[in-house]
Amino acid sequence: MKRKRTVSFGEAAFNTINTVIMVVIMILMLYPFWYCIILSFNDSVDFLKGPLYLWPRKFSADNYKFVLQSASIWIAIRNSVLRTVIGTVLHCIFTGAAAYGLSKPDLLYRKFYTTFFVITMYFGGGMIPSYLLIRSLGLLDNFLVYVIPTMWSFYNAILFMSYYESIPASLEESARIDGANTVTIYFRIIFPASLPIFATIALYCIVGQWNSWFDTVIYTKSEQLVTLQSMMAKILQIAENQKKMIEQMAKGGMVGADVPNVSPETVRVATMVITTFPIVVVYPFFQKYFVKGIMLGAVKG
Amino acid sequence: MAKGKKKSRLLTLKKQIGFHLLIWPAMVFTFIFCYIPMGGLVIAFKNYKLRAGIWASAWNGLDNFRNLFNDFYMPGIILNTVGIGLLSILISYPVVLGFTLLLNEVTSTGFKRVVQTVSYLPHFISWAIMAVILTSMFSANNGVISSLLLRIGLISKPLNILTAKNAYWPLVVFSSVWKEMGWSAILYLAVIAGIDETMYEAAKIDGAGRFARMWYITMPQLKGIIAITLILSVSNIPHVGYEQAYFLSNSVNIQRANTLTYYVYTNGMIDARFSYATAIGLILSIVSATLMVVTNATSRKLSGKGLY
Repeated sequence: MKRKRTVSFGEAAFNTINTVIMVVIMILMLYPFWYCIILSFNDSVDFLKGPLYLWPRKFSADNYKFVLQSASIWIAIRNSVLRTVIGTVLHCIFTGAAAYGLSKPDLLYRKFYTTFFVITMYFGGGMIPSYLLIRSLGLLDNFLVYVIPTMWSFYNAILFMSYYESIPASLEESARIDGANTVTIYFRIIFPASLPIFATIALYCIVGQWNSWFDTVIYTKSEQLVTLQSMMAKILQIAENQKKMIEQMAKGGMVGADVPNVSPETVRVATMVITTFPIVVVYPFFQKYFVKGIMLGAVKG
Repeated sequence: MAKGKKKSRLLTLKKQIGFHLLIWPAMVFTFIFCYIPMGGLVIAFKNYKLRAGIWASAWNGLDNFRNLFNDFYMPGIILNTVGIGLLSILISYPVVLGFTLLLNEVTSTGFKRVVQTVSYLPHFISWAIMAVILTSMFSANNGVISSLLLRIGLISKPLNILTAKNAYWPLVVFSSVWKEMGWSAILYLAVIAGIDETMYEAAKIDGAGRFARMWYITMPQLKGIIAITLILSVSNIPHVGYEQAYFLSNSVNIQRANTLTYYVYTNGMIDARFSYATAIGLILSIVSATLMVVTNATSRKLSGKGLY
């Protein structure tokens, strides 16, 4: 049966106004990013002459040339990529496996295990005791500090567990009859059957690792362990750092007459665009996994 | 009998041993990275010296906590923490709910998806990136906000929001709302999607308008999820503001920017006053856990919904 669609005047007016509001919201969300992009592609001397609004006034790629020819940015890119890849893989294997163990409803001592973990969700040692622990473990100024402390999250384990519960028990029963042990079952049966939840958690990890800066700031000093985010953090924190940073970057790259026209402001923005680009390009394609994770969390929460 | 029970227990354990083996690495990990730092909290009751270590450092009872009460900066820092925390909640909830309800009324699913995807873009950037965006846009030297306001004549000379003391709270509160609005809406939208369509149809037949339907059907259905997120937000108040203070504070606005967690950072990591910083951190954790219990009980009483 086809219903006749009549739209009253009030209805139409509401829809129009609502659409306008949504467009305004989208502009509010996107413009700051756009502003940074045009700033980064504008000549830095020209920028001093007046504000930019919608388009670069004097187009120039010098900021990017400068940033990408410095040695330190490549160290930062390498570290950011490494910590993201290694950290994500370790987290998924470690947390996913322990969650599988915990997901057995008739497991002996299950109550003890979960209590042990739940307490840590409510209470912790905080910044200083954690720093002292990292220090005594010898993880200061060590790449491992990026990927070891992030291996486990009970919150993510809960998400894994609620997904495992939806896997039919018959699947692992038959493997058990065939004589497979728990670890084999986990890798051969459970893991392939749980790819969506692994994708979800992996994406959370990727974003978390890529965006992480505080651990670099408090746990490392070495120039070799700089990440893109910590580089941004350093450029930002003290105005003097900006000049120093530029000098440092220039050292690793071009010399003399080849050094392009750059200012701390535009270099900073160009670095920011490079840092943000990978995440912004990737996230729209994976949004269904993010949403799934949130939903699972809400059901459990 | 007891012996038989014990035996069957051992048998089950043997049968389940694989699962226990999977759990134990996480147990060890949790012990090291969560429980040892909890033990490390004892330095709040000591005069901790890095060189002496935790055990050799001398006890000083409650001295660190007493110092806290005599700390000249403490009242201002508490005010900033509570102020920024409460303001964020007061502003973000109406904004997020308003956005959710309006987005839900968008008729075209394609357009809705686009708006949603765009709206949570800022969630994926760190505060380091946020800070670059904010300092570029709000800069007094040709920053777009200041220039625009000059152009339309609202101000007569360049405005430096980043170094204006009184602008700090609004700056961080609104930028946080901007950053998390779309992301927070996902949860509410998912709950709305689960509401029985026939309730809306029935209300429509009874003559309920669009806003009446939002208010009398959608909002009550969202009560539970709002209660849960509110509990988490309130118990997080003691921890607000350190990332923002790290990037956006300066000698001018630090009076308004300094919050409890940032103070823990500067005391502990910069001034190396480990014991004092830990004492503040300990109190923060206790307050946070207490807030969670209290808000949970309140929410149970008011709406029947709680976290546990």
